Amino acid sequence: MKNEKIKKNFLLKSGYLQFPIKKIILTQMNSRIFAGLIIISIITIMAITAPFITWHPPLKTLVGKPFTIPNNHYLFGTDDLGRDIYSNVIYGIRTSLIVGLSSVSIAVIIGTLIGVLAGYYRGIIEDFLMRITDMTLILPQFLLALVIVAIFGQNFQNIILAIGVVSWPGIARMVRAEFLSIKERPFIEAAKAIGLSDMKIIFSEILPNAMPAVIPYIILQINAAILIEAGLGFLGIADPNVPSLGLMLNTAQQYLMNAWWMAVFPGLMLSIIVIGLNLLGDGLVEYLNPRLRKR
Amino acid sequence: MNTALLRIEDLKKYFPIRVGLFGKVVGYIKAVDGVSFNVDAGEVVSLVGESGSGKTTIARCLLLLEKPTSGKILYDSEDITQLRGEKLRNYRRSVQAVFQNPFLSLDPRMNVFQIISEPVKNSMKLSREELLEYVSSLLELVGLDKSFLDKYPHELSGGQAQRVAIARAISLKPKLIILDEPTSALDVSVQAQILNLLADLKKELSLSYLLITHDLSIVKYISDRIIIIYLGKIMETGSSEEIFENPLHPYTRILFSSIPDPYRKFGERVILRGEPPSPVNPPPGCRFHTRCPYAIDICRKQEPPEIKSSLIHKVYCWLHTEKHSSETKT
Repeated sequence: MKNEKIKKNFLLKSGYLQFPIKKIILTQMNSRIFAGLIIISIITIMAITAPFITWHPPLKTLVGKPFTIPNNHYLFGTDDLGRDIYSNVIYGIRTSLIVGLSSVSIAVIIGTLIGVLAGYYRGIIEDFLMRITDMTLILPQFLLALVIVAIFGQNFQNIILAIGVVSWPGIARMVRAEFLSIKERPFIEAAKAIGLSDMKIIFSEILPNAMPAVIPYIILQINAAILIEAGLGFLGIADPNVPSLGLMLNTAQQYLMNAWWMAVFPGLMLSIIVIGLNLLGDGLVEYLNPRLRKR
Repeated sequence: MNTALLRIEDLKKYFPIRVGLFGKVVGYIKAVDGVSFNVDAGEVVSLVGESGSGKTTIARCLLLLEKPTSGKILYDSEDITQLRGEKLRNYRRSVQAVFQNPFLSLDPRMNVFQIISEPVKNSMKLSREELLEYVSSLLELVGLDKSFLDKYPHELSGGQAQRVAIARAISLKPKLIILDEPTSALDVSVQAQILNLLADLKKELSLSYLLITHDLSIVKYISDRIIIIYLGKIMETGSSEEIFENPLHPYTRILFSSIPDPYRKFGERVILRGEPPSPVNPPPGCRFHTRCPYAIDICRKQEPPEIKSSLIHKVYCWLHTEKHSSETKT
């Protein structure tokens, strides 16, 4: 009877990858992580529910008189083409988050793969991969992304791909560094002695132990990706068919003297996203690195 | 001799010392320098020596964590360094290890069930229920109960963690377990329990052990045969009783006199002075002559021969050549 209960309980509880996220949320969570989480959750909810909380389609021109000052109906006013800034900002958050998440996913896949290969197999493979990483790291991310989008065309997928392709080197270096240190720990030797395959050791022994150190960096990388996207938009390099906070700022600068609301609201929203992610990322770094933790 | 489960012939492991940008090799650390011995089925062989004597390097070579520089390691009369594919997997399965510090040798992000089932999943096809059943039976075998299944290593005590490590080692029904200082990281009271457990498991599962330790009291308790090793070379080998009754090599005697013994009279203890010489440049002749209180001229020049005191009791020391030859003459 009791055994049955333990067994059931156990089957429920045992998951294979156990990241410390659960632990972080439940136990001591520092104020920065908490603030970051709140901001990010609100923003994410806004992005997901965008169609329900806006009443004008984004990008549609002349939903109101151009340059309407913010009022009850046009919460954030309208722009030079009579588009509702409120809808565009909300949908812009959506774009920012999609760009951030998907480009960083690309970066994580490339970076982890390269970091794992370099850190686990060492030797010539490591030298080769790490020199490539260094070379990519030398090039300024923003300019590289700019060049890639300029060459391959200004559409949404290309922007995501370009940002993903320029942001993997940091992740690769971090994963490699973690692998180098974890690889030498006795439990990995024990696993080798038991006869586990390389794949098993990499993915079920080393990677779960390496990820906690890499996750905060990934979150900060999402932040960087969002900023790159906005930066590209501000320079006019964005898909015109997708609402983008950066692009809105680009149009706004021409009318800055007459229509302050065109610049203020997208800029504010961008800052809030970036601050939220930064708080979360920094808080996690601090949480996971006890040496930085203030007592 | 063909019955030997594991046979090590003239094993050498040199670690190159590299300097500079291009890794020029300027010398070698001779960690293991020509060691031969064998482990028979059902036997407990102890490898005894101080830190840096190369005993752990031997274990690492056996576990294929290091590639020997030269020499052979034969398991079931096959050289393990040449094994590939299915045979290699078979070897890995039949030779398991328990390491010194259980907290370091268990993955901190896995619970006990995952730790023990990892090697099992790898080589046996069991459903989840069967796996659970099997892992619980292993836990019972090492004296833990089912409630430990979902605990993480940091929630266990040292003794419990070492029991988990032992359960993992026996999970694949191995023939030989390499125990690398299995009790050094534990409390004295727990040491005894773990040793008893190891002795019981040996009987129950007909295992062989290669025990690597510097702790002579546990050697006496558990082993059938002892190999005394110093600076990568064997000094003396023989059955447990013979060596404890009649230690021949000066180094062995000094080692034994270092065992704390409340009944020993004052002044009987020989204290070994100095540190072992560097394995980069081991002394010529007998490795031990720099610290040996009885060293004679020949010790400094020539390597000592193997002297058989009985069928399995062998000593490598010049002092016994004369004794031995004079004994045989008279």
